[in-house]
Amino acid sequence: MFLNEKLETMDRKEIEQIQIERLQATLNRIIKVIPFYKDYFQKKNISTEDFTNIEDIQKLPLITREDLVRHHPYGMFSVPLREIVRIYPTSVPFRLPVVVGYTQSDIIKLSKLTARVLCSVGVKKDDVVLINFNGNIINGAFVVMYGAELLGSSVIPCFDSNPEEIIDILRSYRVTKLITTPFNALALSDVIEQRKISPQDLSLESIIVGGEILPHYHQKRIEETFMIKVSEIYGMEEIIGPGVGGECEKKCGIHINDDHFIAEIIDPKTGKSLLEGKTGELVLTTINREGFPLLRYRTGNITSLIIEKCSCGRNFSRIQKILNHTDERLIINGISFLPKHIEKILSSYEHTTKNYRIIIERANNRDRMEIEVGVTSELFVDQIRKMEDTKLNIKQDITDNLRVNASIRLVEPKTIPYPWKKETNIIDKR
Amino acid sequence: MLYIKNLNAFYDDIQALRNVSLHVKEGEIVALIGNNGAGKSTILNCISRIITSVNGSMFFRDQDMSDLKYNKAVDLGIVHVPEGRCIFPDLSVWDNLLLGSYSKREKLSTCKKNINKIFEMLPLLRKKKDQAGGTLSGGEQQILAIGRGLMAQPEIMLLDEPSMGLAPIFINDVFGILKQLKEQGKTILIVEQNAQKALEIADRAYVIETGSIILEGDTDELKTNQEIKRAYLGKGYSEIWD
Repeated sequence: MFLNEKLETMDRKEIEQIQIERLQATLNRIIKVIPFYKDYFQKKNISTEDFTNIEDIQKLPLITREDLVRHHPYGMFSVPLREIVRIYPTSVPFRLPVVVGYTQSDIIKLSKLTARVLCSVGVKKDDVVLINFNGNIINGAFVVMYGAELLGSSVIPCFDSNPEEIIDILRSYRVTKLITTPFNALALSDVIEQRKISPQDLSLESIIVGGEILPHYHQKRIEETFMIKVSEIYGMEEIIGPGVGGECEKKCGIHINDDHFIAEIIDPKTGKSLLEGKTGELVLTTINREGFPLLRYRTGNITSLIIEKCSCGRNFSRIQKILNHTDERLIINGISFLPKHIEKILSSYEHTTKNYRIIIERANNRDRMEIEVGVTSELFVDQIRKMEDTKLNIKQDITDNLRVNASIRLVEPKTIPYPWKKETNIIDKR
Repeated sequence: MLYIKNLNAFYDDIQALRNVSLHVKEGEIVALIGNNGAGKSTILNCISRIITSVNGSMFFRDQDMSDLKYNKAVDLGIVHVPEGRCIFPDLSVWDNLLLGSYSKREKLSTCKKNINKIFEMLPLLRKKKDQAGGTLSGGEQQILAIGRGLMAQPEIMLLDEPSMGLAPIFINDVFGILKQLKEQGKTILIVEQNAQKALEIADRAYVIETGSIILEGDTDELKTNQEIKRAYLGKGYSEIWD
């Protein structure tokens, strides 16, 4: 479905025209106000006039989250703070926050874009839409809410409800579309199974997920439990949340809103641009953002780009389903984290050593994680109660900080390979 | 319909436009807003081929306009209604309109029919059809200039400052006519210092500053832009940055 068919089916020539216009306008604006770019242009002896086609984007530096952290909080804003109507600090466990700013015009744009994305995944005016996001993607929840309201859908925002409550709301309010994270959708699947609820008792027509990676087997499980299709929307907190793109009814990749973003694929090791169809890291450039333009932002998501026309009629480029990150990130039931975050938690305990191993298995289409923690012999000779407390505390700390469940096993340090290496200390049996 | 990429224009050694890229789709009204001397009128003059010392690419309906003479641009349907109206003061309203169809080389009977169509759309001109153009008020002259432009049956109309020098009441009349043209699906690229008015009727707008485009977007989005409010939408906004 289209929100604006004419716009969404424009040909590549038109898309590229809009992209170069907006890229040039963005550069003409930011070069005067963002010292980072001013200095870069001076250092490289280039000017905005050197950008005459889309490929010239490669003359710009790649930006990482660390760059944004370095200019925290307002160093990458391209308008004075008084023009910013929303400030959103995006937080990732154990990492410094990045502050994203939106002008009033940005808010209008992101609402329209999200409405477009929701329309492409099948949300319509007559739908009763339940939005269930939580944790560190709450901004995305607001964005989705604006988009769905713009479409005229009846929106039920449930930002912090538990799965039991959500299932009751789905049933009582005859919700037709559920927009949530893969993690929440899996938790809802559990409740459906535990309570032996028949999917026919629900009015749900489809589930739309975003905010986290959705592996095929999780998608299968959710689809089988609810007996409906799951569609994906894509976005990043640093960009504009979930309005970057979404699947269409043909489900052959996620369409990127090319009139607002330029998508590139690079080799994550060399930073060099890769050709269409090659797998690499997705890099996004916002070309219609006023408050916080991001140029060549490394998303860390591994995918490939398809530029050919989709059978839905859209000429917007598509990215393949994202299944990996560039870093050592682990994804457990839709929640991603870095092993070093576990290490950081373990280091705060008295008797733990630096030796630990993560074992991941899949059972009943859910991921299970066990962490073997090397502890000093003092703990073994001490009371059993103390060992049990340590296990429980580590488990709770991991759940609180990383939002994942893990079972903890305390072991003798010498049974675990050291120093830590991904290859030997992560056993992924999925 | 009209695609411009990396347009650079020069007045002798002075570069007036720098890498200007813009497009106008069929049936759209697109506004160019910006301060005096920003390069708005230069863009129109480049499109109608009055200025030819340019580089960059310009395509109108897939036709490359690089080597086009200005009279050929009119043949393609690019009609420029210049700043200051430039009507023929000694000729009657009727004759001014008739001259608008000069490039079409049509029979007089066809021209008369077309003039009558213009009269239906702009009834004021019918009332004054025998009056010399120079005796009309500023607003009436602007309406006549638009009518004359329409006589050339434009595919795209380039309107340069239609509200310039007009009393507020006439500004409303002129924009009322532009609204009518919009409803008829006409394609218009309008340069206007009265940004408020331009943003009211346009679908999209480009903001130009010292020869470069710094912003583009749907008018509903641009209207909320504080810088535009401050710079172009007049009083009451000066405190924002000052």
